[in-house]
Amino acid sequence: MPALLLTPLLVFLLTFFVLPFGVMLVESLYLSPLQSPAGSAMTFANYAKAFGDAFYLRVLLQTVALGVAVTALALVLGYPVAYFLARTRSRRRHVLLFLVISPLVVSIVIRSYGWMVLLGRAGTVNTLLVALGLAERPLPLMYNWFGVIVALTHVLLPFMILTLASVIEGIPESLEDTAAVLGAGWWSRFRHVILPLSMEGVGAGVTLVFMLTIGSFVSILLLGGSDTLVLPLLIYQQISLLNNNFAAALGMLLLVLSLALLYAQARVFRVRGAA
Amino acid sequence: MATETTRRAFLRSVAAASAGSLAAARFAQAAGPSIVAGSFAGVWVDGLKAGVIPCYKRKTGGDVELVVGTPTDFVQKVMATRDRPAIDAMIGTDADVFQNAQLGIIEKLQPAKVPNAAGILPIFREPYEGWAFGFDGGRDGVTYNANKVKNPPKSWIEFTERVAKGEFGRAVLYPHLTATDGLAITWLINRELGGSLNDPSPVIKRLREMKPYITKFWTSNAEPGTALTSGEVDIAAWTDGRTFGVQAAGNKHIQFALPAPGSPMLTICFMKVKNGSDGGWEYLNCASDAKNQALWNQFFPGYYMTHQNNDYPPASREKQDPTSLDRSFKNWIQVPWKELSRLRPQWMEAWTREIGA
Repeated sequence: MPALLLTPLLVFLLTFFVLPFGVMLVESLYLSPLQSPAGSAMTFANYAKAFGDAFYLRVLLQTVALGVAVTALALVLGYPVAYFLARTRSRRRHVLLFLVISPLVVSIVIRSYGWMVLLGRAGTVNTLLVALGLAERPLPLMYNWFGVIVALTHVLLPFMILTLASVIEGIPESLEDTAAVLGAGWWSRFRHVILPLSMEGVGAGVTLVFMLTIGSFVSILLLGGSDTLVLPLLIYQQISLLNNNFAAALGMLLLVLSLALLYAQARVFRVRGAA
Repeated sequence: MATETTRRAFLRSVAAASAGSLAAARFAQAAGPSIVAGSFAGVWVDGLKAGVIPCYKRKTGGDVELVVGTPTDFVQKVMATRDRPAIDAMIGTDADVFQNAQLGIIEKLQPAKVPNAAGILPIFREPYEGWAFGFDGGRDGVTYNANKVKNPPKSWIEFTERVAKGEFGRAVLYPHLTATDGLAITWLINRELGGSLNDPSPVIKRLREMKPYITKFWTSNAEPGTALTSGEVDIAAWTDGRTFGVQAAGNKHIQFALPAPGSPMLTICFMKVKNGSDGGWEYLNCASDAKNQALWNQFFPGYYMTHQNNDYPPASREKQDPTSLDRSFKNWIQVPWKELSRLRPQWMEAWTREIGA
């Protein structure tokens, strides 16, 4: 009976996830019609190009680095908010919850344009900095990695906070109280009680935010500059050139990266669980 | 009895409405084929609705459903539905014409089916070897903030030299090579630097020198407008028509300059999709009519049109290059689109390797 209940989901996943990826895998093993007008035999040329060229490897590294940067920032900024959300008994908890998820209410395009207004050379932040004498001239806050990281952290922070908050809520407060009674300060309570017990939430939040970051496109397209090239943008470039087959190979690369991270997360927590 | 009368009246009216809609449906079926045509977003749609689409409706009784997007979007849709294409007539740049011919997704124009195309100036017909006709175009040049840039570059080479020296700071936009404007401007600068179709190294070297000062390589035609009006950049390689649009929105400090030796000629072309509805031919015929082109042009003052009998609306006439008014187009530089289209992948490889953007 339980297996039967899973059938609609499995059919949906098979049709709209597994099969399209299968098609993409097959596409990635051929050359595009523009590269090979007479047709192409099966070949690993697209993968050889992706792994054999320093430029594409640099883009892959930049993609991973962006994922690490945004995830780390989201974790550092999100953990205290998640803890507060999980522990507060305030009647205004729902207001805080709304503020946390508010970035998701607005379309990503509008949100990105909003950041352009804030971070631009003549934007709000620079105008304030110059007016207050904190900067002699406008700082380069946009069309670079800084602008991209700020915008992505803004949109992905809710995912980290909500994932962490749901796990921290499940940690009995009595454990913290006991530690406090036994003389542990707040840092000791965090380090020896809260953090270890919330590691599954940290793992889930890190995995989710990292995967969403490495697949991000619109924010990087609008707020990035001549140096901020990552895999999703490169895939878009290749599709613009009608090089769908190479784009498919790059897409498979992105998939493998995500699956590797999921596997690593599962392994780490299986080992921790066994321990 | 009052209820019975009301019920009969209601049933009669329902029957009459049903008969009417059946007749309307039959009339629609008896009318000409409805087609799907590609269009750019925004005012392009208004321009087509002003003349080309009403013309098609009058001549065939059918309708035109516009699909908004970019030439790449249209090609992707057609390639995914080759046997029964999702689009019957599409637009694209000169570079797209030869690419689409190579992909086998467009048909050569049949003079008997597109008689109006005979009135298109030869310069906008012959280079495409029968695969398409040109419809409209503008000039690529340098758009700048006149409050910040007091002395705009007088030539493309001067533009590149001044950018590479950092004279404008890191406040420059240049088109990406994936944009046809980028391909055209880069080809022209390469030619001016002594390069050739088979050797883009001079312009690639110059772009590498410029890169530290290029805020972004734009891929969407809307990006330079936003960046210039927000003050994010002070100068950009861009089109005159878009600049006029920004000026019309109140940004009079944004000016356009045409660097020597001039603008590469970049024309939007109409193409008939292979296996698409035959209604596509009449649509192309309407698009190659001088009056319909003029009706389109009222939405794009400053863009040139391609029919020999074109009568530009007054607002457009005052913005036209003199050589588009006399139809000689001498101020434009002819781009070898057929060869450049074929060599585009090699140019893209060089760009990717050396510029890395």
